[in-house]
Amino acid sequence: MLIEFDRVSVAFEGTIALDDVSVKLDQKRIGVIGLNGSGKSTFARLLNGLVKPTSGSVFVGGVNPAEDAKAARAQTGFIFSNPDVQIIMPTVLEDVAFSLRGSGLKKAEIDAKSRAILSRFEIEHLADQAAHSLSSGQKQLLAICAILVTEPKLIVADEPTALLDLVNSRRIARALLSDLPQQIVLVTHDLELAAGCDILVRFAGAKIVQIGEPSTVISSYLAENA
Amino acid sequence: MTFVKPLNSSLIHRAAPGPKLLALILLITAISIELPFIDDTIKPWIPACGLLFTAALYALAFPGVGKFLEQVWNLKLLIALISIPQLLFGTPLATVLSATVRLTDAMLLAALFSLTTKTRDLLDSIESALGAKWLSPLTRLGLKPATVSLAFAMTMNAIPMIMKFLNQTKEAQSARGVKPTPVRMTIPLLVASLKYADEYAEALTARGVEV
Ligand SMILES: Nc1ncnc2c1ncn2[C@@H]1O[C@H](COP(=O)(O)OP(=O)(O)OP(=O)(O)O)[C@@H](O)[C@H]1O
Ligand SMILES: [Mg+2]
Repeated sequence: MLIEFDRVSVAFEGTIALDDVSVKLDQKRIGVIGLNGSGKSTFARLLNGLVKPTSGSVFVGGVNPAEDAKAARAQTGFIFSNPDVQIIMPTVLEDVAFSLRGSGLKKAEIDAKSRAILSRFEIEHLADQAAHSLSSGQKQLLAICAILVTEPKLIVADEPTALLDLVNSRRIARALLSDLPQQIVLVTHDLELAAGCDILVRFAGAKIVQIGEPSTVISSYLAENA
Repeated sequence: MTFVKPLNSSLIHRAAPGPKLLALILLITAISIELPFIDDTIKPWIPACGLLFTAALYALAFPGVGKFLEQVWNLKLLIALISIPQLLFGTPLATVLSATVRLTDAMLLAALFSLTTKTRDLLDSIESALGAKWLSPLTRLGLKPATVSLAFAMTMNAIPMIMKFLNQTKEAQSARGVKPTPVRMTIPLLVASLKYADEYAEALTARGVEV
């Protein structure tokens, strides 16, 4: 899908979080990097209408998330850093199945589909466990399953590995960057993860300062902040 | 291949979720109110009797007293959080004792209910109960069965989170060399809970839940 920002600014009381950003992106794996407070999360949240532009317009696959949040949320799955806040139902299977409520599917079909996605991420054995008893890595995999089960066209992940150890980060990286048929916007401070994207967008001071080949963008990011 | 934990098959586990929920509500109400027709000499003993009764229910569902004691132990901080400020404000000991035992009892009953009931069964029975004719005035007022059952699920989910914050706050204070008292813990606990509520609301919205 084409992601289109046309002169987008976002201001919160006193702070400019995004300053006149225009960009067109349609790569499959779009990485977003930049220092703390540079505007990455604001950029990500605009994609599904969690944040609305103060001025300018955003289009994702022809949908304007600020005007049609419902359509935007149906086509976009959002993964947060803290898996605790993403769990809605008490057990693993129920949480995945919750995403399919109102899908018109029968209970048995919902169950089968939910189990299928859990087994794709190798956590099917946890299906009946209390979601809050899982480790952070398992919780994040659960969050990913609960998002992917609805087959969104676009995944937006805002620092999905921030709370994870090396092994779990790599597992999530594989799940999001190698095994996924969908387009993804991945915000991260993990440069190893960023290097696996097709293109990197670098933010600084509420603006996009660079777009390009991951290795090029990463080396100027490192050089500028040496 | 899945490995579903074999469900305990006690009478309490097997009871239909609807009537079980009704029984829970009735029991909690009975514990919470002062029944006017009861003799003054028996009154002080009612909370204790309620607690004993709850222990008996636990024993019915989980052989022995282990599960009951485990749940009481889980509630220890909450119990302290409820009782100590009251004592500090000079509330008479008997009153504090009675209030604390009642509240603990209510929480134990609620815990027993959630330990012995599959959430999905519960939600189904809430939804179908709200779909019933005699409750249709409520639905017409805009109370959606799906919303009510979602609120239930979220509440059950919030409990382990609050417990986690409680432990984190306690550990953080101990690590800094202060003794974690309920008074000291209130503010950090509130802040953590509010922050959680904020992020939770955002994640709910992102998952397409209209709240
Ligand atoms: N809800 C909000 N209210 C007020 N200010 C906000 C809000 N959200 C973001 N900001 C401010 O906007 C700026 C950009 O924030 P944003 O969260 O987009 O940065 P970020 O690049 O994601 O940073 P980080 O790497 O720390 O996550 C920051 O100065 C931040 O303080
Ligand atoms: Mg951010």
